[in-house]
Amino acid sequence: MKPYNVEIFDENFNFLYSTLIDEETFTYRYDAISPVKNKLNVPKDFKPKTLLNEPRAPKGWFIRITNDDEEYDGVISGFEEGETENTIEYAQLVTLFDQEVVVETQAVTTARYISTFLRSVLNKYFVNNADTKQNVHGLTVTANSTIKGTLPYTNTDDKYVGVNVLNDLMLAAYKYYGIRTVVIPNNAYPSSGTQKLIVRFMDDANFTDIPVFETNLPNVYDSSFTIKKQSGREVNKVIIKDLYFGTEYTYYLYTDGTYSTNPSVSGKTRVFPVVTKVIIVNVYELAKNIVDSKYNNMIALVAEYSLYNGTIPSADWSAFQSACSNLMTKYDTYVGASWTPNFNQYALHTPGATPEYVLYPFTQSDIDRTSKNQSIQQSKTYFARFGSNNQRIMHGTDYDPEYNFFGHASFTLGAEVFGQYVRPEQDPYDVEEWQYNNIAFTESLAKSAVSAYQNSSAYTDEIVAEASSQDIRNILIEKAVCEFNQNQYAHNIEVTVRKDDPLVRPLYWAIGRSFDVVRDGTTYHTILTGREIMKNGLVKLTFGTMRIELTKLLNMKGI
Amino acid sequence: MREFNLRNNIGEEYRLNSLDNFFHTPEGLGFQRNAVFQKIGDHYKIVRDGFRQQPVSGQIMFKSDVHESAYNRYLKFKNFLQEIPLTLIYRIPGGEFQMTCIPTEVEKTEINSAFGMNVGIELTPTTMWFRNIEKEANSSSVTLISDSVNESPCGLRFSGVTKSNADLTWTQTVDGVTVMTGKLLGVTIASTDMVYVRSDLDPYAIYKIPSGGTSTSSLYAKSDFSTKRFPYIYKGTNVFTVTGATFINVRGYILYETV
Repeated sequence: MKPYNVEIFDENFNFLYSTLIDEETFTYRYDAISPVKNKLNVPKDFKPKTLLNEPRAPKGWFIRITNDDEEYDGVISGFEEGETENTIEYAQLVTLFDQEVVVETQAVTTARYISTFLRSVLNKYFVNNADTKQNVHGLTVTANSTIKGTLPYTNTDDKYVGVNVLNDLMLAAYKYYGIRTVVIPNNAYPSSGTQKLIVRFMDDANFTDIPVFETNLPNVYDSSFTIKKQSGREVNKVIIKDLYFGTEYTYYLYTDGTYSTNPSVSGKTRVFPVVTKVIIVNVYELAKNIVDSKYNNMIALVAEYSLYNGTIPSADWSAFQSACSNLMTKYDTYVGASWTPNFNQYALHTPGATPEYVLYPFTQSDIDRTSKNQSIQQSKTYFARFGSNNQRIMHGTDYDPEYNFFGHASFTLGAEVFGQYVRPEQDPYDVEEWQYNNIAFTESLAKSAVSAYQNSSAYTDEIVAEASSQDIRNILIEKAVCEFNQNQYAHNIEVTVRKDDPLVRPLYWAIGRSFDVVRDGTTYHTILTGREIMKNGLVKLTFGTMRIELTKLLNMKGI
Repeated sequence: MREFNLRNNIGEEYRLNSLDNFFHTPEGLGFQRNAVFQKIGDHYKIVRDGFRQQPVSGQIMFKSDVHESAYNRYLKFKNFLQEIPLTLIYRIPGGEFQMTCIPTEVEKTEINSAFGMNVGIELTPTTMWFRNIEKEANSSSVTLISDSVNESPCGLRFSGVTKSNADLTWTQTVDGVTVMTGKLLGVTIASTDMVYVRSDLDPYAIYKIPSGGTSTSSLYAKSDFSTKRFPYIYKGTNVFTVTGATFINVRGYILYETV
């Protein structure tokens, strides 16, 4: 039998050294629901040293164990010297993200991919963190799932909440939506590559087939089924009553794990007996959350001018207009230009005028008049309808009196953009570096613009329109699916086969795959959530999200 | 006619077929397996199966005669044994087989017969029985044939690298199926350098030795970790191929449970 090759890398993925361990003594457990630590016995002379041969505790280093097509990776969490051999303790790579961070409760919404949100959190705290010690060297994050929805932590009125990235975000996304976090080292080009560790958020939407395991066949050495029974009440029908419009939505669960608003889909079988759960909602409130979050972010285009004659060159003004238009197209959101002048409100434009004309009333006498009225602190935000109904533009200037001498004045045009996708997630400063002619793109304070918008009747109109939209329907579906999913996978099925079983191929399947496990003619639709390589040459596959070991229950921290 | 010999760690050989010191009544030349079964009704399923380490034991008769006493012959043997590990060499009509071992018990006695002193010895193996095998060619590939189902470690050696900063690549097929590939990335290798890829060392190693053999530098960290890299000889026709070099050598051990 070939031995396992154990390779150790430091925290920057520099290869340090390797050793061999016997195939018969190797055991390994992986649990996607309750991450575990594994122990590996290595030869006595296998001691952690840095590249410079300096002894060092290897905590935080990476370990890779391979043998033919098998590969197991982890982050070292402990090292112990024994009399005859040493022991390395290592945790699943995903525990790198067992950290608490602050997130906005509305940052993940029903209109947004959960995987995109998770990626933004990892990029913010583990790739671009100002505290560079917390960054994971060479981490690259990709979002490969298009499932939308909310997470349990968003059920709070607080604007911000502290969450554990692993438990509250990653594992919750897995448990409720089947979005699994795959963490793998980029083994190619280990010395020169910049991508050392890859995180992928993915679901099994790309798999059209569902593998079937028959546990009564002779190749299965052992199997156990623990199916959660909530006094026999597993929800398979959800009625959602909307208090605002008075509408009622009903969702039915089918035996293949799908659901529908149709109580009798042709070719499918409803789960029986029917167990109903009623959920009361107010879609107006739900819609308000969507609209709030949709336009929660804000950035601004700012063009500064030093004016001699009180006019901004028309070419630049056109460029500014064009930049606003581009942003609207790019982000499909509102673009506004605001002004918070220190001078009289009539200095710049006529309400209702289109942007091209707003500067025309601006004359030297306006400047002079403004300088004489510096004590007037007025803040005005003007909304003018621009383009389609869901696009508005505000425009205005800011005035800096310090530069107002000898007839010179400095003015700033500002165009604020606010919307859900405005801030690029990968940017460390949360601002897109952008330049359009002489118009700099910066983040600025435009709170007043959004505040004014939220106090307007247009905002209320928007919410009502949203409340009757597909987005709301998606929220309701997710609430129903959440109920179904909690029950669908709330079981613990364990199947033990030989490691080299050609029928089951226990090492082949990705954690997170959907399966139909059959016992005595009954099919259990489930997902693969754990795998254990046992010392006796067998592999135990664990399905479902329920755990029955007390230690694991404690580890799950309420997920 | 069979023949036993021992070789110690400094290369000295000790003949055990000499009438002066003759190894006889050997035991443990077969094998034992660590097979674990699970009873299912009236049959058993194999849960796991593996080779079990089994000592080879026997007696060595140290002869006493007018030329030398048995005591002296034993003392010479004792000195030979100190340089461990030992290699037990077993020659039979089917070929020569070896086993690396450690002397774990020697039953020293007195002269106990008219012939001399009979001493019991136990040799515990650290390897299976193996047969040395080596092939090389001034071309890009060599072929080895193994008759053993045991995966046998070996070492590859390349030279004549055709590019100074080559992506040196090696592959192995068994009966036409690719089972292993390996690659070095961005490493400066001279055409006179020897590059070694070895699974017969613990830990595995990839290194180069420049012409003259004055130094060794590890290339492990420069290898492509996404490939298997390390060769093993499997049952069947093993073809080793190198790209980017003009000479290839394969040296290994075909492992057997018993011979």
